Amino acid sequence: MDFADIAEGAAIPSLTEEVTIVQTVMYCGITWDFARQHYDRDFARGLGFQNPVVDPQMYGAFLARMLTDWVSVDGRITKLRMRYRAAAFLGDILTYKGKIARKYRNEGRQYVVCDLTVENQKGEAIVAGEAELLFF
Amino acid sequence: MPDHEESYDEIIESLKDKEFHLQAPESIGKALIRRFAATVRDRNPLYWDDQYAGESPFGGVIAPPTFLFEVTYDIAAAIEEDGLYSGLRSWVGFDTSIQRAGNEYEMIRPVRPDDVVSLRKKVVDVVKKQGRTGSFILLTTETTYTNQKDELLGVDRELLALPLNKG
Repeated sequence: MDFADIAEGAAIPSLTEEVTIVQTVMYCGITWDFARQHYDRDFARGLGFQNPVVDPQMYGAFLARMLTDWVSVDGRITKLRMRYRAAAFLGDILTYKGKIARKYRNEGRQYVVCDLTVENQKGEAIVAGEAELLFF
Repeated sequence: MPDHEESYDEIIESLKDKEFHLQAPESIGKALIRRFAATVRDRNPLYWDDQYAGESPFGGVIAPPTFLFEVTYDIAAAIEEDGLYSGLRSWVGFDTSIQRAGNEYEMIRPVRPDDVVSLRKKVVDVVKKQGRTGSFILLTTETTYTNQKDELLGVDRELLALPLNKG
C-alpha cells in the first residue's frame, strides 16, 4: 500500500467479533489478569453489572489487529488512544471501525491518523479513540 | 471504606507520587507472543513466522502492538479471590474496584521475543470527581517500558476510576 494512495475519509476494513466465554478466558489467561467480573456472572452482578463485563484493555488488541491487517508490513502503529465510553458484556457482538482522519509528513516521515470506534450490536458507542501509524 | 470526606482527601494525598517498578524475570519469548496473537485470532505471520518476519522491515518476529501494555510480567504475584493482585490493591491503598476509563499507548519500538521488560509506573494526576453513581477518584498513571538494553519500548498513560462508594 502506497502512502500516496491513502485517502482522507476512507474507511479501514472493519472487524466484527463476538465476546465469547472462551475468548474471554483466553484473554484472562494470556494477560494473567483474572479479575472475576470478566467471566463470573454472579460476581459481575454483585458489582452492579448485568453480565460479565469486558476488560477494556482487550479493545486495544482488536483495534490493533484491525489496523495491522490493513497496514500489513507497510507501516506500524505508533500511537493508540482509547476512551471507554460504556461497558460491553459477555455475548455482545462488537464492531471495530476506523476511518482515515488525516495524513501528514514530519521530519521526513509519513504518518496517518485514524479515528476509531467500537460499537456493540445495538450501535451503542463502547470506545472512541484514534491511532497514528508510521508508514515506511 | 472511609466514612468521612476528609478521609478521601487523605487517600488522594497518599496516591500522589506513588511509583511501582517491576522487572520481568525472563524474556518475553515466542510462545507468549504466539498465544497472544491466537487469543485475538490474529494470523499475521509477523508474530510467529521467522522467515516471513525476517524478510519484513521488522527484521524478525515481533509482538502485536498492544502486547507490551496488556500482558502482566509478574505472573508469580499472589492473586486474590476476586482475581486481582494483592500487590495492586495494596499499591492503590484502599479497598475498591478499579475501572479503566482510557488508555493512551505510545509504541516507540517493536517488541521482540528476547526483550526482558522493565516497567516503571507512576501517578501523574489524581482528582476527586462526581459521577452518576457517586464520587470517584480519577487516577492517571504513566507506565514506561524498557528492555534489558535500556531501550524505550513504549509508554502507557492510563486513566483509572476508583469508586469511593461501594455497593
